[in-house]
Amino acid sequence: MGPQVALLVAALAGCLLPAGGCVICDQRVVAALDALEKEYLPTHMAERQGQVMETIRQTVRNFWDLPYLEDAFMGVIDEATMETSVLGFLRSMTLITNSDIADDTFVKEFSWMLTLEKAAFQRNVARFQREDFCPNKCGMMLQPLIWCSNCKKQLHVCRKSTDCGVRHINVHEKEDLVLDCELNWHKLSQGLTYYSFYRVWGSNSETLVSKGKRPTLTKPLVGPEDAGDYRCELGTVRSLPATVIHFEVTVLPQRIIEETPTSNFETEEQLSPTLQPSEYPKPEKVLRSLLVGLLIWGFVVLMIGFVTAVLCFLPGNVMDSIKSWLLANKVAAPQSQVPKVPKENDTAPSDK
Amino acid sequence: MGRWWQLVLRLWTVVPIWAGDKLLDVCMNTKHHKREPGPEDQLYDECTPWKDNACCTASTSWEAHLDVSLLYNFSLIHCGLMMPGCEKHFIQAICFYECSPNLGPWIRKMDLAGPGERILDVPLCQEDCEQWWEDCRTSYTCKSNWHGDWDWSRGKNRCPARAVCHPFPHYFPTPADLCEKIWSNSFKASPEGRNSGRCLQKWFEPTQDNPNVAVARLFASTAPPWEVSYSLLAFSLYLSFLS
Repeated sequence: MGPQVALLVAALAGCLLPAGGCVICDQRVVAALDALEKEYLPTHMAERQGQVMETIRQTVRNFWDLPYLEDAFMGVIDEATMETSVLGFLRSMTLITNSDIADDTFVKEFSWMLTLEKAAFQRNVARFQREDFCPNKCGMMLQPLIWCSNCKKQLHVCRKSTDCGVRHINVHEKEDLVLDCELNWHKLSQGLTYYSFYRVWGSNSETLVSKGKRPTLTKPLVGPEDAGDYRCELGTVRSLPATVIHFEVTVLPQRIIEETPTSNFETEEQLSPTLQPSEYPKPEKVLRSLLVGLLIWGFVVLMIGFVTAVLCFLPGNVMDSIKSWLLANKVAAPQSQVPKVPKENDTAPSDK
Repeated sequence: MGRWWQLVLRLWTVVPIWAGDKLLDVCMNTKHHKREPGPEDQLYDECTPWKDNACCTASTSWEAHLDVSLLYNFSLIHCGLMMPGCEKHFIQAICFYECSPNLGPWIRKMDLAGPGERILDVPLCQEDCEQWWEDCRTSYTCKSNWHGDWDWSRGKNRCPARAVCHPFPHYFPTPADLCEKIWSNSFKASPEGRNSGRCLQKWFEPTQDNPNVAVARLFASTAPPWEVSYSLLAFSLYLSFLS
């Protein structure tokens, strides 16, 4: 049983390796198959190895054999698709080895698992081919891809067009001119060097304005002399650029700022050039102040109403006691003047 | 009679030179070639070596680089994407075919009726064929002659029904097979090396001068048209009989 099983296992493992598969390029898959060979199969397969092995071999051989179609499979995948497929395959393998099944059950389950995994791989690859293969719509992208035939990872040149078009930019005088050279696929490409911005004079002459890693060029406080043609270029490690974009810049007259400066000491240059003209106060502020005002007035009205209700509807004795308290205060006030008058009358008759 | 001999001898030397000039600095008559070779400053990437004198336009040079070349709707990716090293050789070969003004001695008519032309047996240097073959070992194809028998039902060529994709060496066992069979003998695998001056390079460094100019001149001058030489021979024999 020992040598036969060993042969069986070796054949099983051997089949998966040279078939030109993609997932097999990953070290984790190789390790998992080695573990299956050395640890699982010797203890779980007893008889009919030859016939069984042949069935497994056939299934495995057809696993990675997909037809070449432009929207489905071109023999290449990217790192992300590889990762997704490998993790799915390992998960499925672990489920089987954890279940501890043997002999016929094992063969049946394993074959079914391979069928499902092949379909999953086909779906992953088709999605990659449709959405992530050469995602640039212009220019030249260097995309790192893995070739399924030999597991080599190399840069594929995605050529879509020689340049990425012309953009018309309008900017107001004294505001900032921002030229943006970045396209969404730049972050996915390899082999990129620097963004260079040139000012274009006429048909044959250019001057370099800036060169670096930042994809935007900002010119603050533009004047009429800044209008004209510009060109940005993203270089690569090869002789050609990845992207070339032309800009036609028009400088419009300065925008009129309606709000007055907060301080008379500020000169015009110190004013922020990006000051927004405030033609009307912001709608949120208006609403907020209205709400607060309403709340205050509502509260006042409520208080007045409460007081009125108290005065009108309280029981009579309470009202009388309040009234008498109020009157007592008034009587006490003139009482202090009355004793002075009778004193004068008394002294007058004693003189006779 | 001596003067007749002198005249014949002069004719003998003049005619090859006259015929030779018509073979130098010419462009094939095909859909994409220019009428006359000339400088082109906007040639793309692998076609730049021919910028000083080219039979291709800037847009033709761009199209030579596409996986599915718009020039002939031919797909290089009929068995999946080629390895970048292999693809480069094909692009260089297409640039050579479209741009070189030095293919005159090998231009032939496609058929006697029409105006179309092709090249036949252009001797490529040994290093060119060998490097091309070596770099394409890990790429795949499904036919050994790329000129006929494709499935064109979907606009681009696809492998015909029973043609299975195999690595290049399966269909092209040797570098000579690759060079010669891929475009039905447009190229010939020359046993000569690059510095011999007796074979053409399908690509050269853009900073270098075109080394194929001298080679074309050599092949043009050593091969006078056989009809003219036969008639001259007959005439001179007739003259010798007369005298």
